[in-house]
Amino acid sequence: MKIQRLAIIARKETCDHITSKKFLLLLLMLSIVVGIGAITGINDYQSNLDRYKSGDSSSVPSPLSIISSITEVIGYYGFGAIIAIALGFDLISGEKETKSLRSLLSHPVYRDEIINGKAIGGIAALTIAITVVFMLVFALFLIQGIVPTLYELGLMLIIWLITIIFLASNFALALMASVIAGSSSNALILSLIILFVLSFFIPVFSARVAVYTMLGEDPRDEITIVRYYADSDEDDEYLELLEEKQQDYDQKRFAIHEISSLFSIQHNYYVLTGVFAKPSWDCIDGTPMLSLKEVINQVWSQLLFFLLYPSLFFGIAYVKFMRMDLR
Amino acid sequence: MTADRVILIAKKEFNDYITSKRYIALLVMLLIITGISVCSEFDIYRMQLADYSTSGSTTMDEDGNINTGLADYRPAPINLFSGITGGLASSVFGALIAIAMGFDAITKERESGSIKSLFSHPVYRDEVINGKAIGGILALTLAVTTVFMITVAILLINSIVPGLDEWPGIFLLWFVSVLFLVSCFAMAIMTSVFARTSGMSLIYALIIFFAFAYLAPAIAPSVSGYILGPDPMADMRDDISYEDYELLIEETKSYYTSEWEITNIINHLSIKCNYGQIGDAITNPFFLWNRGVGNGYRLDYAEMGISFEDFMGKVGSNILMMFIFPAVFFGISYVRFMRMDLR
Amino acid sequence: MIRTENLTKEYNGNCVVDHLNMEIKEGEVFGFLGPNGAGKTTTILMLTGMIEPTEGICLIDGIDVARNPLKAKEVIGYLPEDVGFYGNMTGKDNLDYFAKFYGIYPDKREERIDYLLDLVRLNGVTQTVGGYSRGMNQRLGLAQALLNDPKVVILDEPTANLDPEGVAQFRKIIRKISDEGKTILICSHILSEIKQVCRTLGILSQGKMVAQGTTEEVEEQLREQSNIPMKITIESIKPLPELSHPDILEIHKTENRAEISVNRDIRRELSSQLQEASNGIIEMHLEKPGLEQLFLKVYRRD
Repeated sequence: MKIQRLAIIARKETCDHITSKKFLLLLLMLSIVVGIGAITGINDYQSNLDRYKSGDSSSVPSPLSIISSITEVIGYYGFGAIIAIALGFDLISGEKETKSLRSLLSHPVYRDEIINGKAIGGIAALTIAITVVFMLVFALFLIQGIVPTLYELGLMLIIWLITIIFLASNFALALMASVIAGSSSNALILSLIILFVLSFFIPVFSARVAVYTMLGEDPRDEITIVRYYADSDEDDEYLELLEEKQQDYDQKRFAIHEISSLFSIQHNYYVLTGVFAKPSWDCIDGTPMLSLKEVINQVWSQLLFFLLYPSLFFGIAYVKFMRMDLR
Repeated sequence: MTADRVILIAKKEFNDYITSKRYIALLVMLLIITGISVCSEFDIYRMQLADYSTSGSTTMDEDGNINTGLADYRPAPINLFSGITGGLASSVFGALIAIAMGFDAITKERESGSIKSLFSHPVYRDEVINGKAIGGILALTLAVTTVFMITVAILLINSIVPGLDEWPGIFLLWFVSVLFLVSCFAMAIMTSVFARTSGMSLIYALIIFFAFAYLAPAIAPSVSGYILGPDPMADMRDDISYEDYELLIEETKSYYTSEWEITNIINHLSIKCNYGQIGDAITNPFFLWNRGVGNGYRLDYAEMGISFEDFMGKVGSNILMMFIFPAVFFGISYVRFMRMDLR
Repeated sequence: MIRTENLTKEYNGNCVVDHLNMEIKEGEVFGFLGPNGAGKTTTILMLTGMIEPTEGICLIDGIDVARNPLKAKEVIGYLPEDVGFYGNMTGKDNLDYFAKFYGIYPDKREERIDYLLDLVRLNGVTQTVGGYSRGMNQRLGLAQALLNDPKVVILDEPTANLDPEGVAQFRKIIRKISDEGKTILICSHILSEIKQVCRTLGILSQGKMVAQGTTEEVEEQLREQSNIPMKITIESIKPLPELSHPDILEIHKTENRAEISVNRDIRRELSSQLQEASNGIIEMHLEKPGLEQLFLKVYRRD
């Protein structure tokens, strides 16, 4: 693999993305929704700041809370997944359909240079999109006279990086689907189905099945009835037993949900960005309550899966593309 | 336009849909989503049943006296059907089956060249677009019917039998669910007529879906906040007098009611919100009737009796929107298709 | 220049190209024929390094294509059937993008691209490729195949989408690059085109080469395989006698004219018979079955 050829492909792909109607439309939508969220966030921030200044509240508001307007739109509302999948779903299937892949491969270029170049091009375009969005929010900050500290800027940078990895995961998923599926439309449907399995089927459905089969019935209903009718010491003792059982049940159920949620790219993104934007990092005197090491300790499993996904999807896309039949 | 040709095309399209891997995969996905949603409703149902059987629900009699109970409302089998509305409307995955059927209805034929073959035979353009629409609507009706039948089966297996008076509501919910998916389908057909490739059609369909589903509820709080100003409670001082506090409570109550009304109007622009509202009204009036109450008592209005007029008053406009959306989308598709350049 | 030894490609146990041995000398214009599904495109994809053979090797200018695909691609130019480009870019931009892979310097690249666009009559076209007609697309395809001034040019159905003027232009270009000493392999169904342009032919059927050589040699090879008889037509002044020969299959005779189906050329023997009968032959000529007829017979047989 030669860097020059890789660079030729990556440059072309990036230019294609950022000049396409699709990208500009999605970026516009993203900017509008983030902008609206950011303005609401800024208003909340200002009123919280006023309350802090007038002594009604003791916690210092942080501009980081406004950044969660970006992460919410990108993660929770699914914009990040949509924009990343939209960029990736037709990268290989589209070239097969327009027959330009065969033309490209008749020239001195290796297949791995092509797939790597396309991956780099797509991720570069997504990085540009997210940077634009972050700059937009930052501009809103400055207009409103909100100036984050250097420390807060550092945390925002970390959130920016996490966001890029999140988008790269979804992009790699779509790229993989583009290689596997016969057509671009099937690639898009396949991406959405895989997303459904990872963000819904496993965390919700499988978790429910696991909870039901491993833990049995929820003791809550029994507790309600016993609590209402309890009128003797024996009943109180029984109630205590039930409440202990409930606690145990809740703990185990929480653990199962924690594990099954690891499969959801969105959930991992939510947890990781939450950790870096949360007040646990802030303290009244400005020093963080937890060190970076301690924070990573809290979220190491999410971080692991978060980094695993783009590698896995891209690995599959790579292997499949290298062996793809061109006829 | 003759009915024979339209039926011919509709039959072909219907068969194509229900035998395609894509339809079956997405139907399975839909069943999973609604199934999980309905099962979640079971937990709530059982909880409410336990609470209700101990102390009933909170109601207000004709004299205005409030009788409190543990339960929010008297649970009924129809409550469980809110799992279907929840499943269909909560994320894009529910509507995806409809979007996936419509997005390449026209682009696929253009890409494969079969549209030119089709029009070289004696058939009118309006027969083609109408036939495709009807075929798709029938396939979606089948999907929704499957969902409802499986839900009823789950209920019956758990010995929960809907009362005779609940069946009209279940039927209405079925109809509105079909309308919801038909709206999404019509929207996808519209993008298929305008877009050059199937891939772009799907992207546009997803963007428009997000715009019509999430944009309105996303901007509604900002708009109502802009019109009404901040929450009166936000400015409350610690040293407020009792009379002023009572006034503040009243002010807050009317603030929340107004906020709800403004939000409700804006949410008419969202297919998802219209459907959700109607779904709530049918399956669990407690939630819908108590919106905008703020800090007041939440009453079990179903127990207190809701007339058909009350029902229509609350969701009549939403039902109207459920007809307007597909009509507008189909209308635009029709006009554009009639004038489309086939080259 | 192009040589294959036992070149084989199998898909799921199905042998699409079956131990193909082919040799094309430098400067030849070789026509590659065969019915659909014969394995022509698969062979070409192996020659151009896009797919790997299951067995055997193919060599282009001595380079093992499977081992050194990039080196081979630098000396090959390939025009695929249904060539595709990036629809959002102009023809010039498309060519520029592909040209970058050869490491040509920007000014030399521009010069080369302008020359090629002029050659294929696409100079001055500013619209994006998405708006091209099929003929324009095909011409641009030829231009991209010649970008690197290759030693070997492989063309798959090059005249399929061209109007008569385009076809004539194409023939001119083929002649021009052939005069430059390039080795050309043309894959086509249009036999008349192949015969006009190619000096040597190869016919592929079910993954195997059934005939290879000059046009005449191939016709002879096919004729032997196909058992389509030749026809000798005789016209004489006097009524014709009874003619007999073991190689005569059938005779249609009127008084002074006979059409005789034969296995081989027996004009000499027939001449002797007619001379003995002192007939006064006005005309005697041999008609061999044409390439089209032989070609169809090969298809039908297979």
